Amino acid sequence: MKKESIVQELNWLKIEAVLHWTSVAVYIVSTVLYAHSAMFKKKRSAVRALYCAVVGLVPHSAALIGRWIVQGHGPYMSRYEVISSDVWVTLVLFIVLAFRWERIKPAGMIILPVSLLLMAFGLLTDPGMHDLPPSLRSIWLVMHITFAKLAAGAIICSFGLAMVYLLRERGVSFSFFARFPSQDVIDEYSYKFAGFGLIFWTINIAAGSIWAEYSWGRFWGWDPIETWSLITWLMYGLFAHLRLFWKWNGVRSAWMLTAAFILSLFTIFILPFIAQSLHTEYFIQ
Amino acid sequence: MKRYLLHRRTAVVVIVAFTIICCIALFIPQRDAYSVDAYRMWTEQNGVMAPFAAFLQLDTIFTSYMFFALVAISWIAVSFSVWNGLKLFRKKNQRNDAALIPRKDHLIFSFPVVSDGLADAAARVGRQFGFTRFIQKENGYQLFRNIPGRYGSTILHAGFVLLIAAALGTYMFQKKGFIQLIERDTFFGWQTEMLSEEHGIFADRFVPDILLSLDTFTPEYYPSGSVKALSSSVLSARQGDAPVRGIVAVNHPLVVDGVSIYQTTSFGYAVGLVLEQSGDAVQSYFCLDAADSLHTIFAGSSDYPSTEFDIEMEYRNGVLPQLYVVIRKNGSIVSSGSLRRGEFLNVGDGRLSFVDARQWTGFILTENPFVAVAFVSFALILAGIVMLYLFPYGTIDLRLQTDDAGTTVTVEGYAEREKGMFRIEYDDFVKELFVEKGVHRARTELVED
Repeated sequence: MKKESIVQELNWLKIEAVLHWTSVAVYIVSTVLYAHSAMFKKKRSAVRALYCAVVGLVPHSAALIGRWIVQGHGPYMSRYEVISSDVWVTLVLFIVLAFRWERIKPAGMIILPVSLLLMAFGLLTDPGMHDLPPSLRSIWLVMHITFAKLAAGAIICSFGLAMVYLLRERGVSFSFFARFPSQDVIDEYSYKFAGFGLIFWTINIAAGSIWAEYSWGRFWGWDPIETWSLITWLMYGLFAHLRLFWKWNGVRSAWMLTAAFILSLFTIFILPFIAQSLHTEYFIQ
Repeated sequence: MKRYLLHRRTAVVVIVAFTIICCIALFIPQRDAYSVDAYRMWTEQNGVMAPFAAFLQLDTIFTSYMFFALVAISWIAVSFSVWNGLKLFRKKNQRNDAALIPRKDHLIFSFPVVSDGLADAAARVGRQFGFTRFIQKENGYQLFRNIPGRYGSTILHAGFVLLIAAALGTYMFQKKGFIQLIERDTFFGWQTEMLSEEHGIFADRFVPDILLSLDTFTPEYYPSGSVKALSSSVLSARQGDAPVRGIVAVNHPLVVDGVSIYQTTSFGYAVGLVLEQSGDAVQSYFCLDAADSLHTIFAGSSDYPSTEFDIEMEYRNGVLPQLYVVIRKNGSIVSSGSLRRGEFLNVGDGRLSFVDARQWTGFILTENPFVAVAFVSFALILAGIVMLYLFPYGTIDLRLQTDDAGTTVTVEGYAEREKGMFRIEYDDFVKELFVEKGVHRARTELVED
């Protein structure tokens, strides 16, 4: 490997670490502001918390864009960059929709800490950069990964709202919960985010199938990753049927979304690194 | 039968059954899976369970009878659902009620109003809330939002019907094969055997009616030495036609007469050797695989055809390519040495000449007319889901009733989904209409589901 590119990579890794940990620090501040808003009934703190999260996105975005430029491909090879980009997508999705629908702003109280914990976990893994093998150089892969991340973000938001619903149902009395809309509206927002998740997951599976067809000559092979991804998709499909036909609203819906979220966590974050499959042949542990 | 297949419970049971089958495949290694070693290890470690699993077809669950039975039930049920959806679509389009009829499950609110300008006000307020379609009826007005959203389910299920058909068609009729070509070598599909070949249960053997000639194979590398891209310049044609030049690269297949040709990531060097002995000369090409991650060393071993010798080779590609060979007979080394192209090595009373080195690569050939059907099904499934979730259907009716006391308008709202959020929108719509019509007091009559 050329000496210049090694030096460039090492220099970038140092800068990237600073940027990432800066964004983590800002997200911590945002979480504290949300907690302050909840405990002392300060509505302004919740607004500041959201703007703080926006500020945190700046170094976070710079870290991901810089990494993309230096290594020449998107953040989908190692656990480090996969988790960081998943958190980025989750926060962007939540912030955009929170500015669009005022009522879901307080959900940041759940979504920020969950994202923060995931990000901190990811930053403790190996940050090394890896070349993209020939099979992964495809626009369909970019679409596949992009929509997988969007799906992950939507699912995390759906889970966050389901958690708020369940906590209120159980009588957990944070005063900031009063700023959330009624339970049935929270329930429907969680359903709406789950719907986004299902749409993005469908595109994720379709793009992956098209990529597999162009790469390996088969659009489905019952690979463990493909199979588990299908199971997750079926879970959300089952949720939709139960909600529509058996009126599984409220508590049952929230628990169903929690179970589906845990399943999706396994599919996205754990299975790619433990399963022996053609799908994960190139993903670095 | 149709009633059971169309029942809601059937949909849930089918989804749960599919999920269970997928879970079984994850816990019991599949015989035809990517990792053959994993299956072999599992059968060795589970001497009692393995035969039982084989008997129940749990180790080939995606081609088992129970899986096909489930697929068949799903396909029939979803097909009935699509048929019903299409019938409903026709019925809704044919229904043309002259007057608005009160329906249950609607949100209802009544207030007295001056009917002049009510239509304009309702249309204006309706547009603010996305109710863009406005129809005048005998006794009032009707507003609609997201009419296509009503058909999302039908389109989604139609996509499933196609997808299952494509999957079954692929399983039954797909043909697939793998070939290895050295540069300037030609594969004649109608007469050359493929290295491996598989076909669907109702398909004939795969004998593609095409020729494929590898002109040059071009690997590209990153500065780190790992492989960046692989592409082959090929000549291809249907039998009897003139060959046409094309490029096959990873993720960029070439299609020739319905046969798709995919570039694989396996490649190496093929060394050409000539063994001269007792007046006979036997020339052969040996395909060597990469022995290091930087693809500078290629190695392999083989018996030398038509002779009693075994040969081990190591080819170093570089500025001065060199081939190192070890020749054995009955396990003992007969000769060994390092050769450049054109050089030879003495072997007993004969000699081995290194005459050529060319690159080789692998191609996958497939014939599957159902791929396009699968891609169309993806589009339909996605369209159906988008319509269901992003375009929730809603309607608001305004019924007018005039008597001696004046005119009363009853506003009825209905949404198929997201009823909680629709209730808020409906309340806002009614308030806006109040403001538009300047009504300060209302006789309220709130009737719900």
